[in-house]
Amino acid sequence: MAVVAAAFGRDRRIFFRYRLQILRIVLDPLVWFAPLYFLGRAFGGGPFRDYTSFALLGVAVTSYIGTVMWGIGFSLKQDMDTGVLEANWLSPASPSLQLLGRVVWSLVLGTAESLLSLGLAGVVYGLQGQWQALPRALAYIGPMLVALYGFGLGFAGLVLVVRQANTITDAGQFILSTLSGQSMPVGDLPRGLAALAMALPTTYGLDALRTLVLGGAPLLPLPVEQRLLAIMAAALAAAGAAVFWAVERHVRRAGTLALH
Amino acid sequence: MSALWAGVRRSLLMKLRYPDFWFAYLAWPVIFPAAYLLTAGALAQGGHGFAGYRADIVSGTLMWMWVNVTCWSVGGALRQEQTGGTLESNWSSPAARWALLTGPALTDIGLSLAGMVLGALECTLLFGVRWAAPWPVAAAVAVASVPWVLGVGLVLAAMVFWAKDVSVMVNLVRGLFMVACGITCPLAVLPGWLQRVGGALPMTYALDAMRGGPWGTDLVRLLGFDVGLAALGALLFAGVEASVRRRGALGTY
Amino acid sequence: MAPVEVSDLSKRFGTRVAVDHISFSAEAGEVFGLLGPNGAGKSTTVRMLCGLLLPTSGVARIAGHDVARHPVAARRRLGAVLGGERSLYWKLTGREYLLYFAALYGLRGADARRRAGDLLARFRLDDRADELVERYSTGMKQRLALARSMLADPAVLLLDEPTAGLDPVSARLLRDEVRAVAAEGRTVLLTTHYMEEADELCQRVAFVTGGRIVALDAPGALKRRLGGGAVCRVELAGWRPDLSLPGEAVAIGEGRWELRVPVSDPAAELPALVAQAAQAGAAVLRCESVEPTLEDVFVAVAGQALRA
Repeated sequence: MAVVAAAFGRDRRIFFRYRLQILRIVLDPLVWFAPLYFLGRAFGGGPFRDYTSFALLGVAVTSYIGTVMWGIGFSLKQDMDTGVLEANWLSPASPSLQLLGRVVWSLVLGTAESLLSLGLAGVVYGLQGQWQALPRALAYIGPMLVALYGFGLGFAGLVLVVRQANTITDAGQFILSTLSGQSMPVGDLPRGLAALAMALPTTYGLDALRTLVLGGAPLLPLPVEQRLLAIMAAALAAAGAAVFWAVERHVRRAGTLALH
Repeated sequence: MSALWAGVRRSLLMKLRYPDFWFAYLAWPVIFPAAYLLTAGALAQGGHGFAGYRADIVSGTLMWMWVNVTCWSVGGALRQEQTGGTLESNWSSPAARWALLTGPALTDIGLSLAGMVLGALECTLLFGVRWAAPWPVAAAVAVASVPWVLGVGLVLAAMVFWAKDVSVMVNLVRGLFMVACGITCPLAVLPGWLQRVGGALPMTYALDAMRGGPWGTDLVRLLGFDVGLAALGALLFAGVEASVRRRGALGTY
Repeated sequence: MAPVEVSDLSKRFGTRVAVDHISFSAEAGEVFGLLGPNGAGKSTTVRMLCGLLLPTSGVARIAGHDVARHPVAARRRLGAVLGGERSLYWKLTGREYLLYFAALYGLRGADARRRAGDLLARFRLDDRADELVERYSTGMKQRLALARSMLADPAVLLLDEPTAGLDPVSARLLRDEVRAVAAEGRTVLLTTHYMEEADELCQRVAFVTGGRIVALDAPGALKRRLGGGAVCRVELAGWRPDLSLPGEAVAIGEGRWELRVPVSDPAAELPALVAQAAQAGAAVLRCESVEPTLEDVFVAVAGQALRA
């Protein structure tokens, strides 16, 4: 626990010392939402009752994908580049626990970013919906986050192996966000992509949230989505941890920890 | 001039050695516009016309990607060299600093322009995009845009030096273009105040020409931005670089 | 049991052998040097001792714990400085940096704060402890890295090129710290390029080339092995490998070479060597006989190993 808290505290301190990062957290959701908002306006909102709220919930939930991929994978690469990763791995504390501290900080940051984007965009772009349903949605968002962070552990492992991840991270985040139904219903995706989308936990987390807050029919009955999310959470958390552990062994065998 | 060429060569060699090169220049320029095309398709089910809109989305998103890649590569490469320690060794050589910076920047701008042209072709084939501007106009817009894109890169490089941070600066600059230039919609959809902001950015005129606007006027305006932004970028960069060296902050991060 | 025990340790990367069946041990309170050229296998050995790299075969033990089998137990007794200032978080203060690592080594609350404070004072960083690391000088950063390695009160300290990049005064201060650490009964394993530093600090040194230990002994004993206590240095112009002169020739620039020949009777052998060189067609520019240094030993030993 002390290791997790220490890694959390380290990342928190460093984040606040790069003060401009706070500006990014505030502006990012507004900026990325703008093209969708104007696209929606160009089509007069299309067949949606309230496209602005629909897309905004999409951006708020899928912002976690970015937090996971940049906050865990990319920052691990940065530690590798600057040389601090070796010093950390020299200690008796398990690298997985050290990473868990980073995960918890990124979860806090991601939640702050999501809530901020909802609040700010609510003011700037205008929002409607049953917002009192948000606490109920936690039953879906919770397991979705566990699954997502499990994926993040595996992704961190991948970054340790390939040691170059900018475009893959950027594009991966965008593709996963789009497939999760960030800006459109998953049913409007081409058939092959829709099948892929149905394998993503973020698809169900976002769908449940939209159903509860904005109304309308869910992709699958909500209890089924909840069970699916629980299964995905368990499977992805276990798989992510296993991948990271295997990669850690591989890196120690190949001696690539200090390379970049 | 040899320093410029050396920079181009080094940058090209290093890019080709990273595994994500082909993905970045072949797949990414299709994936990014495709996401907005799919969204527009979902929205168009409300009965609004969509066919003529595809070219607007593809041109807007691809042009934005070009600026985005330049921001990352010019500012990002500088930051990487700063943290990696190679900036000091490069800058302690007798070569001119502008050549050391613009060499790799021009490589990136050229490569990403080629990637965007390829992306436009791919989108035309995959999504049946019908372009409003004839290809010589599109080519003229692309050529006239190289100097201002480079200028934006130089302004960003100065900002990176000043702030010792690349991701925030890139997000600020690319965010401005994303919000104010109508990358997914005609400029008229934007609120009036945002249209006025867009009017101060060159990408707005490049997109207007690509989307069938008065290309002659747009090109003249672009040339004005070329001179202005390239000069501003060079001036800012020289100023910040001199100040950083006075304070001895070249290698700190 | 010695605090550091390395037995038949090897590491292969594909077909390349980086470390080839090396064995040595280092005692409590001893400063043990691993010397060798770049790529000799020193850093690979050190990284295997830290558990950052798994050996292909053989065993490395820290304070009795097999590093590959019981890495956590081994790392609890080990402090290491690898890469010096590159191992620091520049946006933390010196104190925050130590407190963070204290938590990774299992120190908590008041214990951690006391230990960090003691180390900051010991390494003369206490007056700048609450400043960001990015404002430290290179010497201060190196001392902070050393302080971090001492957090767990380790039995063994591994230092990889600890004085690289330091000015002479900072380097001397750091060498004093290393001596003090060893005087407390800790084992210090040091890798360095600086032969004089190894001569000054180490009780024993191992010369590593091509992944193998080619000589291991006390610096004095190694020098005596050169044959009685002197090295003839003859500066030549026009040396070629086919001249068949004894000793090792080292290029010293502008077409000049220095021939280094270990001898037992310099008074008799130096004139003979000069005559031999002149007869072979090389121009003798300068000659002298000097006490051998570790570098002479290294050149002789490494040369023999390469020829073998």
